[in-house]
Amino acid sequence: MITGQLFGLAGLALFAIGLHALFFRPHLVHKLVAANVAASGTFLVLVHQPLEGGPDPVAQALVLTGIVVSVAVTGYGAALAERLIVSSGRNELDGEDG
Amino acid sequence: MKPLLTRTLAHIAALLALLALIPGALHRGLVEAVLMGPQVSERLAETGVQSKVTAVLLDFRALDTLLEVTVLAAAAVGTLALPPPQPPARRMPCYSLLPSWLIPRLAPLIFLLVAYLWWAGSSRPGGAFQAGASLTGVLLLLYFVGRIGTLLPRPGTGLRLAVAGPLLFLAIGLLPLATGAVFLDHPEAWSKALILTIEAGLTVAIGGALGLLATGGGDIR
Repeated sequence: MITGQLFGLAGLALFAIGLHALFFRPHLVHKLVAANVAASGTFLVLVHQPLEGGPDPVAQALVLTGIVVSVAVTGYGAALAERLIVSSGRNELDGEDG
Repeated sequence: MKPLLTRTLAHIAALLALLALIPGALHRGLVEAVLMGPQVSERLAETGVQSKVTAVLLDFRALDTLLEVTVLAAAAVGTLALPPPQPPARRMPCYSLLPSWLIPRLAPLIFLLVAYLWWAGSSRPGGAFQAGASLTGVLLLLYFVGRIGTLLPRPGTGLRLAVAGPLLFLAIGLLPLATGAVFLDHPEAWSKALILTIEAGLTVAIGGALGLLATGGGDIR
């Protein structure tokens, strides 16, 4: 039970770290990595409660789906960032204080 | 407002939101209320597969999985819609002898592992996603040591595979409608064969889509 809660808290911490970096890091590649860290935290929160016979199958399926979607987002995001960096020479989006 | 003040306020708000989330992350009943493990165990026999996760992915929540591979196909299409990426100035040579000797010899084993993961998905951990990711992995390894010139054999292969997977899934999902059943409700007698067919299609679709994303769409031009 305590171990399960530790995993839950670790997931929450990962989510917070990732979300913070997603908002405050201007570099686009940093933002992509941050989104992945935050997503991993979410997955950990979803599967951290060990029921009898392993984690809940529905939660596992949800997380598996989430991983594939986050890979798709990362792949497409990396392609977009690469085109932007090559064409504009900038690795940040235009922002107020970026 | 000064940028520094805005940032500080944003930090405080984020911290408060985080503290508010802690009980949610720890509360067991909340998680159990949304999840349906016992119901899955009860009705596992209807799906024709023994793995609970596969049963959820391809039977109980098949619509989610269909949409998920569609997202992957959309990412592949979106990547190809961008202007072609800058080609690398020159191909990075592989200096170390060990990988270039070892990887081509290991590759057949990894292809076997891909097939095993696909088959294992029906009874134990495994399935199309693990198999598809391993497929892209072995192709990338072969590509990096220069054994294959491009990641995917022909131009357009990645896109065709990425789109064909969800289409096959959709076609099999539409079949039950002819017999008066519900969309994606495989007939019980055929369930395992249909699930394995879908998983085979998804394995190559995911392999192709991930390969395309890994090269940023540059490989196929």
